[in-house]
Amino acid sequence: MDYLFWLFVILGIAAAVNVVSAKNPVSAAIALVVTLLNVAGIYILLDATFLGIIQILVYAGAIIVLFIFVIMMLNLNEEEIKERQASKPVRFIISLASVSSMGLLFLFFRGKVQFAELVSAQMPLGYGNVKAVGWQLFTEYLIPFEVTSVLLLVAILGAVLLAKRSLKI
Amino acid sequence: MISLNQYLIFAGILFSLGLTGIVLRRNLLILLMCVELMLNAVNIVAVAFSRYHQNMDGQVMAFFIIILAAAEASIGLGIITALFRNKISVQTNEYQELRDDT
Repeated sequence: MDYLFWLFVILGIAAAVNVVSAKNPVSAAIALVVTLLNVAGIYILLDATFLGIIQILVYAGAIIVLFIFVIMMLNLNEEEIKERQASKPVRFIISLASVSSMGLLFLFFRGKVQFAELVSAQMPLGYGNVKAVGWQLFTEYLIPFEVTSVLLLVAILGAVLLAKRSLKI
Repeated sequence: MISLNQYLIFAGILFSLGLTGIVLRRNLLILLMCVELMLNAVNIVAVAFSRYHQNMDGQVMAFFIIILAAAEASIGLGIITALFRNKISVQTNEYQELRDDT
């Protein structure tokens, strides 16, 4: 399974770099789809099969479609896409700083926290499938699960209100 | 053998790439996509620790984060369309009305 992990990691990071560096929002959205699919593969390697499927359905199927829909609706031309960027050395310093902050974090924790190998082939039967996740959601996490429905309702109302032409009701 | 560390490092790289995009880019749509990248990195950490501790709590957490990301994307894109209607631009340096120039 090791080579699959490295394949997902390399493809995911390459596509994420593309998301950050793409000029055109459409190509950034397509690169984001590739990253999300690779993250779904990582979930499936971690025995979270239901979550991997949900990742593909919700992210690649709904969120990215929403992004592409808005990009198409805005219909940006060449000069609206063009960004007034900071100068090249400033950009280099910013990206170096934000990447090296994560590297410093790893250096700080190196040797202090020792993680054992992920135990393979000892997972309980049905770990990560629909039944197990659903059982957790409807027993232990019932109240947070119901609260998310309120969150989604508020999101729907907010999106409708924001998209209205005038705020007069 | 792949241990937990590799998963955490992958998540860290994804998170820092998203952070770089947030700081560097001026396009509102790409900023939202970078937020999605960062949320995904957090999700990988939750799922990896859930696998490590052999329980399902991290997966439920990741499930909630996916719901949150969907709500956030819809609201963010609604705000972008509302902004675009006022001023035909998706660049953040066009929206500086609240900035104090003194």
